Amino acid sequence: MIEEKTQKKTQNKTQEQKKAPRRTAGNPRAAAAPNKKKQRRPSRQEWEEDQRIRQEAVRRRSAVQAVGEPGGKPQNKKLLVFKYGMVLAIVGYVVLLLLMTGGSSKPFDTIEKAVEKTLDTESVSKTTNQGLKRYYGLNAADYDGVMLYVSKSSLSAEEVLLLKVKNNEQIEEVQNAIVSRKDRRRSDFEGYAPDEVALINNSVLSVRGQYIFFVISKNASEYKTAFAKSL
Amino acid sequence: MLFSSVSFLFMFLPITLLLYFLVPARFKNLVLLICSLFFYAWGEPVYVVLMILSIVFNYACGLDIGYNADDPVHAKRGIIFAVVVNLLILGFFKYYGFLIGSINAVFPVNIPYRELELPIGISFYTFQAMSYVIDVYRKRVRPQRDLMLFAVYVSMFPQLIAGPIVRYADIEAQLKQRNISPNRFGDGIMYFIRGLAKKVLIANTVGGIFDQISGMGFGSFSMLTAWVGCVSYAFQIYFDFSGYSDMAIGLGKMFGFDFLKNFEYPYTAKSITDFWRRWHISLSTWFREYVYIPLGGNRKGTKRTVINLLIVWALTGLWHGANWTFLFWGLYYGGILVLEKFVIGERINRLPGALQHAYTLILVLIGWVFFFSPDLGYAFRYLGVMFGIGAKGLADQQALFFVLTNWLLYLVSITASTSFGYYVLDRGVYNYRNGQGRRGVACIIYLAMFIVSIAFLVTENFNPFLYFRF
Repeated sequence: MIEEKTQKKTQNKTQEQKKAPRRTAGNPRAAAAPNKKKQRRPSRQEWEEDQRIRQEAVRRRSAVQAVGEPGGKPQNKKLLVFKYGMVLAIVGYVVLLLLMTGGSSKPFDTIEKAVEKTLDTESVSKTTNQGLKRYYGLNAADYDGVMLYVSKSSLSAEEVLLLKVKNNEQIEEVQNAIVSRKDRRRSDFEGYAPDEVALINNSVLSVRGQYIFFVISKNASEYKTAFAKSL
Repeated sequence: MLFSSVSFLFMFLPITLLLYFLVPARFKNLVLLICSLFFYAWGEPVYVVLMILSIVFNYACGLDIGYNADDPVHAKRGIIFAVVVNLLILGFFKYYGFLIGSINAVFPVNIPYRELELPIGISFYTFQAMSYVIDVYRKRVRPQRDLMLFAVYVSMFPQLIAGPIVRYADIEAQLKQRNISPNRFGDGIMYFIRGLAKKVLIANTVGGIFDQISGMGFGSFSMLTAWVGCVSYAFQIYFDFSGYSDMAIGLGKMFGFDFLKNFEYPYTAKSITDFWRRWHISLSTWFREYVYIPLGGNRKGTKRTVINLLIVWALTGLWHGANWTFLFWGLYYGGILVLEKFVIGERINRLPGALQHAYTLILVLIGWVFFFSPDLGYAFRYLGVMFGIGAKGLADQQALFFVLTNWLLYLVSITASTSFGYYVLDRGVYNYRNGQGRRGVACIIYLAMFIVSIAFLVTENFNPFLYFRF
């Protein structure tokens, strides 16, 4: 690489010398050591040419073929079975994903109605958007749909939140708000209502696509199943 | 995990490099593989399984096609099966929501569907695996017997989540044996720091301006503001993506791999044809090699060539995302390229340089409007504002404010978009008089770039990488 550069530079040098003899003529160093290949800073074109040469070298280096073993064995039944087995594994994996983690394209109202049907409205009542702001610090207008039920009695930690985000970046902030809410509720009941604290610790949080479902309740797992089914 | 994040720069990368250089040569690939899987699993604990399944499946397909090298019927069956399954996987995760949503929109039905999040990097690693399988079928490479080597090729973390799309043929030799030298390592670090600076210092900052402008409602900003917004986005996406590609190339060099460049100063192009030889080179190469040429390329007459080009560009657009805007964007460029190839190419080449640049840049900026718009309606409205329809005047205080407060940023962006910026940097760092690098100068400059980048990183909240959604 450096030899190529040097050659090019000496070539250009001779042309330059013809054009502007002032440069080296009369330069004592050049006269004293005429055989020393004196290099100078490349011009923009020379530098770009050099960059192109480097890229070509990279291309040539990577195009060298590795020496492998010759092919041509007869068709291997085991390999075919393995191939199809992998496809089945992928299909099975995708089905599992859809069932367990997939979100839904259904509109918020459908899911909300399905979940509300299963709620025990004796113990919880629906709040307005102010409730979301007060308890979670979130703005209902930022999201595609909010349903929040809080307990009627101040001695109970029961709560059900169903929220649909507008875009995936919001999921993290909602999750953080839920964690903060859990911590605050825990400290509210710590020391005098251990049953409620246990409920809070066993709360259920399910993020499915754009739907976030959070429950503190003794019926938490039922509500979660209802939610999952409704998707 | 992002390259431009503290956890990557100060935890993952140093540990990986340490392990990699401490272990003997025969374990280096294993270390690289494990660290790459960990890297992917960090961001996608569930989808790492999908990637592993895809790797093993493609490995088996490669072997199967290789074994049937002398049996063209079975080989063909094998390749069709492999390509179809790969495309189905990619299609399912990326497009089925879009497809059903479009059907719901067009027909009077409402088919509900379960949605799945897009696995990060699926477009990149699926295309890489397909390049391997197709090259085995074409007998360009021998099938890889070692599953670990193949897994390293597909899952190597430098290029796993955002490219460049490395073709197996380009890297086959380097998998088994590569030259790890201090020179190359140093080169890699410089590349990496340049990429990091591009992403953090320029892309994120100019992206902030774009976010401000795109957040304004239509009718509240002027024509000039719309152009400023579009130009900001153009810079953001270029420095974001090319910065990330540079980081990937730099990381590759650190581990002894040579990846080919993905960008070649695209905004200095003189025609759209030239632009696409400089932008996302690995993608256009992939489409040319594996779609355009198999379709017949330009060897089957003009009409067929036009159709081939439009197909390839529709697919290129769709590859970028499941949205009508991307399809439109791809066909927009396909159409221009067809025109340039058959109608106006000659005339463009005869124009003076400045006009060629202006022509290219205006078309490119219009193209980006479709890229950043969430839907076609928004895109056309925004374009309207750019050309005076629905704008709040030609230019206003707000537009001038944007330009005047950020003039230095734009100046830096313009300089860094051309080779001039790198030329000056290179001249400072290398002493061409004796062919030696200037160690002190290089250390100071690159360390300064690195420290300033970290300072910017640490004060930012969220710096997503735009090409992550592909």
